[in-house]
Amino acid sequence: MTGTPTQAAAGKELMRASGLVRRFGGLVAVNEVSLSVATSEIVGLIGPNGAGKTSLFNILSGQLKPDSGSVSFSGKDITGASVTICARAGIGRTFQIVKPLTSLTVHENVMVGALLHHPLAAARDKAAEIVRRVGMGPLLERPAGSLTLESRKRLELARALSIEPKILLLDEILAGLNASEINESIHLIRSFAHEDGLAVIMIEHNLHAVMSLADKVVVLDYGRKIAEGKPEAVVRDPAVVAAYLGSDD
Amino acid sequence: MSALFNDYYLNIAVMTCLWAALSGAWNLMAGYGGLVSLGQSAFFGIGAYITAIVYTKYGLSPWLGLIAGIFVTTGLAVVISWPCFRLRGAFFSLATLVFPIAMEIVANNWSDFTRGPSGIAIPFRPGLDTFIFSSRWAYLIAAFVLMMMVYGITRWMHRGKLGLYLIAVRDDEATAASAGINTVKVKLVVTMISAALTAVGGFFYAQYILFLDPPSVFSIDISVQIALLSIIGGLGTPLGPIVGSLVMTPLDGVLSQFFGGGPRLLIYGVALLAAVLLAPKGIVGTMKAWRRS
Amino acid sequence: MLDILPQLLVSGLLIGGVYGLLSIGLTLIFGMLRIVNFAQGEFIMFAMFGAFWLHALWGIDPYLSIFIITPVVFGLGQLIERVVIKPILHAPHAMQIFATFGLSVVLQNLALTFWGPDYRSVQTSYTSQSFIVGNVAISATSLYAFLVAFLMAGALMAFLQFSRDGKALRAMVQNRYAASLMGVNTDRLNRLAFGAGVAYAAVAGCILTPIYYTYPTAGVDLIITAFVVVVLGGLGSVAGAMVGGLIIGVTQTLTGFFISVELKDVIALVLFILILLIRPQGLLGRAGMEEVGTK
Repeated sequence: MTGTPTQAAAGKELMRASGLVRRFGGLVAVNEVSLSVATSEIVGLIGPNGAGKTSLFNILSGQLKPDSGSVSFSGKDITGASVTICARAGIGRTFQIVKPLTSLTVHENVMVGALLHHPLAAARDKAAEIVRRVGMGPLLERPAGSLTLESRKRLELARALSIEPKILLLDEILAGLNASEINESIHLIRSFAHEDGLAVIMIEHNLHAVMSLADKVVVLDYGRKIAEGKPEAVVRDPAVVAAYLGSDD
Repeated sequence: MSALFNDYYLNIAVMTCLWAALSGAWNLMAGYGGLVSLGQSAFFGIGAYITAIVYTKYGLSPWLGLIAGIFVTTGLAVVISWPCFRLRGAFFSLATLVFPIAMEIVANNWSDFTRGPSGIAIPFRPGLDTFIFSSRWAYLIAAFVLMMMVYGITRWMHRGKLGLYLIAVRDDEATAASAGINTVKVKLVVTMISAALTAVGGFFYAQYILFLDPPSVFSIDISVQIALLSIIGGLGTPLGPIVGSLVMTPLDGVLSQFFGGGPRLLIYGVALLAAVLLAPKGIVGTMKAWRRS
Repeated sequence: MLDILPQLLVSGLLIGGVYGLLSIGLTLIFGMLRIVNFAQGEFIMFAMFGAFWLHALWGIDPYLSIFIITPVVFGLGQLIERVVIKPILHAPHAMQIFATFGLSVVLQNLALTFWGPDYRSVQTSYTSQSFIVGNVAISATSLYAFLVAFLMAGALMAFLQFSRDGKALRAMVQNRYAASLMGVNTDRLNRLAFGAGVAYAAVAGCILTPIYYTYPTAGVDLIITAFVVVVLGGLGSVAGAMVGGLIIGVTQTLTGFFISVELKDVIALVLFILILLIRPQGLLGRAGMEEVGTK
């Protein structure tokens, strides 16, 4: 828990992706995308449906191997490394389609990740602390299979945090939440970056949340990066406006 | 007469412990890791055969056979895992089915070592060094120790690190990997532990029954029986295999006394179906659910 | 030695057609329900006993009994789907596997209890008849079995391609949830698919009766081959099952003759493991099918 609360500006570079390309058959899901994130920085990743946002996440977290391009993390090359290795290096992610471990309790779900850096007893305490932090304290011993969608989304977040990551990749964790839940989550995400010094990349359709949180916004369309910059500047970018107006959203 | 009578019940008690141990070893893989192996009899048969071959062909202590058996079966576990771990669910089970069939063919044809279909009779020479005893009480104690050993390992694993990791892998492999778990390693470790314990069961069987032939140790029925006990008792619980064996093994003893193979196995099949359809959590799981409500 | 090659190839292809038919039901049930039916062999065995008794008691020709036994097994399959399969469609893998495994044990031992362990065979006027083409002898029963197998495979493919239910079944394979939203009655289709899958086993059983021995564990011996065929052809693919059947038939016949009869079964198992390693989706299967498992 280091970092100064007032430090809103980005720290030093943590992850850099250069020229990533990934094809599925004839479709180029990710096309020459480059991106960099620094500690304490929040990057918003936006774009119409099917723009390649989740594919990009899958590459950054080891689910997919890129056809070309490279990813470096904490100064090491991790291009094509497995999910396990990425997680151990400190890349935490949530899944858009939530995937809790249904036969375990909320506490145990988070313990699974906490065991990466702690022995059993310490992992139990650590996990309980994380569960409380995401506001699920009362649900600690509930079976994960019986949770509501809202709670499952929070559990995703807790699981991503459980491995004590240096970076969080958040895939639409605000979707389906109501206004007050979104506000809570915004505070939470901000605290991860500004209090814990985590780098955050978030895929988000909720532009209001992105505008209020992100230090930098990256816009993908048809697999390509069409804009990057300060949120206020990006939303005025003609290419971005065209991409959004041109699509059904 | 009374001694014979006594022997009959002692034998059922010994077999109850042995089956509980074998089923417990399977439960580690299938109940916790979701690796529903139908090939346990390959480990069991290899453990039994190596013990018997080391003892009868080379005149060495069966204890050496036990150690060799553990090494070979854990090695086989690695070999099996290589093609099979890529497969999920029923495909994994299908693939594991191949190994006991292959081993039975090997045992039938590699006569120089296995004496082929005629099997190996193990000479009765009682002693701790041969692990052959004149009293069934000695076997009962040994089988009980083996059962408790498997139980202890399961307990230790149950909600410990390995157990949690296994359940995570069983529930969702992608989620498990994103928590930093090396899923292949976790599955491999549990398969090796299960294989080694099953080989110990094979060693015990060889020195207890004192006769082996390919179908008696490699048959698919053995793999099914092993699984059945855990399912009836409670899959993925430490006590499940023991409870399952306590119910089913004596029942099996009674059934085989009154019925031939057909009706006996018919009752087995019905029990398996009933367990799966009516009480999928098994006896232990169902009782827990009752207590909670 | 090579003179015999055409004969071996023909024999291998003929038996391969039957292997294909054996496997179609298995692949159909897996494709539609995502269930590996370990009891499939027992449906084959029951049909064999049915054909045997119809012949023994009333002198009904095994090929004729196809028309009696198949509808009966089709109905029985629907009933079993309702009682055994439906409750476990969304259960964990272990339960799915042992439900059908338990069914297999029950059916096998019902047969053993009622009819005993004896090997029986049906003798018809054409049992030992064969046609000579050049220097190749073609046994009549194998040829008929081969023809029926391909006829049935073709009929199934046409059904899946053109009929309303067939299209609905294929839609269900693509996306069960979407299919149910579009008004497809998945419960009825599941029953239909399972019934049809075991009905195919029944046809296979009938045409096997004049070729093969009928005994309670016949299904077990046949189903192992069927598993290999299905994995080779690609789970869920009807055409794959037929191609896989032909390949296994020829391979077994050739190894049986040139190497040794014992190795015949080993070679199938080796093939099985090799396919799983090299091309787990099978020859004509879609990639990822084996990963989906029964989930």
